[in-house]
Amino acid sequence: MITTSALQVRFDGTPALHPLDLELPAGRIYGLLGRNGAGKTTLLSALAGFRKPSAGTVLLDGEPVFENLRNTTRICLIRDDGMVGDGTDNLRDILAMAAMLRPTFDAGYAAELLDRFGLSRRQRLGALSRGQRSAFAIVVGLASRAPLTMFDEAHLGMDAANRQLFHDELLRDYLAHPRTFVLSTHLIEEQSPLFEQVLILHEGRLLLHCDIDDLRERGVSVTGPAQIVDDFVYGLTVLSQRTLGPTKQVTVFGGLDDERRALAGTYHLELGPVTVQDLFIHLTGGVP
Amino acid sequence: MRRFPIARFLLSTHLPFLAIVLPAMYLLVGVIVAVAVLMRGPATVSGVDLSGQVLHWLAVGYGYSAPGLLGTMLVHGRTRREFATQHPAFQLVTAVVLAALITGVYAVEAVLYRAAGWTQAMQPDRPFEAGDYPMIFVANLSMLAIALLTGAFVGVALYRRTATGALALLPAAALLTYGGAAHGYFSLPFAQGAMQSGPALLAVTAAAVVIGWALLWAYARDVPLGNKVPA
Repeated sequence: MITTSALQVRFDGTPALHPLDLELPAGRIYGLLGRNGAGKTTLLSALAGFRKPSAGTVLLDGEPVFENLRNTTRICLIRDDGMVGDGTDNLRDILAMAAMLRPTFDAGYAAELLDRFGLSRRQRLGALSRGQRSAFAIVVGLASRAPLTMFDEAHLGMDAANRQLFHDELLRDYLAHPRTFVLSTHLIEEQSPLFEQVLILHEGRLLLHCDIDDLRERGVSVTGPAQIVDDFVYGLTVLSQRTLGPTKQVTVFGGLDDERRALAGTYHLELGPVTVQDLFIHLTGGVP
Repeated sequence: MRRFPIARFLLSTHLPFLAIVLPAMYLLVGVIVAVAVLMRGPATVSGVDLSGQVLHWLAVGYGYSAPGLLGTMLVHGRTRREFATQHPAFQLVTAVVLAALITGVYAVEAVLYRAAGWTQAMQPDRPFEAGDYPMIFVANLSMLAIALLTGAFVGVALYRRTATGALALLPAAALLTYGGAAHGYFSLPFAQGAMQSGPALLAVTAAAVVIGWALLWAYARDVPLGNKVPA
């Protein structure tokens, strides 16, 4: 269980994270969403003990995180810079170092992942491409088998196939070795199928914390003839709309009551799920 | 998990690397001395002793890489407290090992110079004469220990990117200047006079190391790990 109470982080007096109270039960995959500058990286840094909170507390299983060896060795945060070692070191040496430093590190699993991502042990970290560096950082993160593993935009620069491999491996290893994952990402639609719960940060504050299914139920897509759809959604909060010939699809915020659902059936309108990204954009202020 | 993982990692990887780089550096010094002899006649000063001044600043530079190491250790789940105790310990062991190696190189050079009929003259600021191997060891140990620790705390202090971090340059300058005067590898007009007594030099070195360690701890104990901008 991760618990924060009144957690604050300020940079030179400017608040990056306003007092934040969180309770994240263990053994789930959390999606951490937020626009640029929302405070995602700051929050993750505080959770990992990379940064001392300006005020408030961060606890993992009831014990402080910052400078507490019992907890820091149980936490792994892979950041978007992908730097998990010295740029002049080769990947084999960095994995050997990780095995030396982290009690839960699984060197065998790391070797397996290295092969799956097509990385050579002899390559130097600094010589890797952006995507390869991200892939290697993900290898280190997954093989850490840390009870709390967090990825902060760790997929940057990775191609679609490797991102898919990352998702598949994360799920496979999560099922085999249940632990807590926190994934911070801007690739909302791509990664949201992994999430069990979602946290949305906005301007340094927690805007939303709920099950991903509950979030999806906060919106509905309505598809049908353009004029009928327009009449149907009149008075509702429209998140987005698309028109293809005579057909229109409108995404609305908020659930539909039984009466309106029956009305949709009467007019042969198709009701469907809404994308998490559409809801996220709406909840965080819409498209500028 | 065995104890002291940071020190074990550094001693098993960085120390062998440094122990290989050092003879390579002296090989280069040997080549330079050979070329100088060919061009200007018999050697009149110790090449090994002369290169000690370069080694001093190389040691400061290596110490300055400490924040990179600290960041890596934090990423892999270790703490600042562990780093601030095990990294200086590694530096001290490194200083002892390298000082022993350097002393050996002085001895090898003495044999070569004697065979060639040259004079192995030391620089005037040094607290030792040719053949005074215990003092050569102590002076080099002092030089390496002070330089490595000073580089480390300055590196971590500047990594903080704060005004108080920049203030670390003042004690660093003092340690390098007066430490340098004591071991004789760095002398300025207002700070000269190497300590001729081994125990006294060791005592001064111990005091400098304690100050350097205290400053390292002061700057490292809550330093936030910055995020690099992705390429």
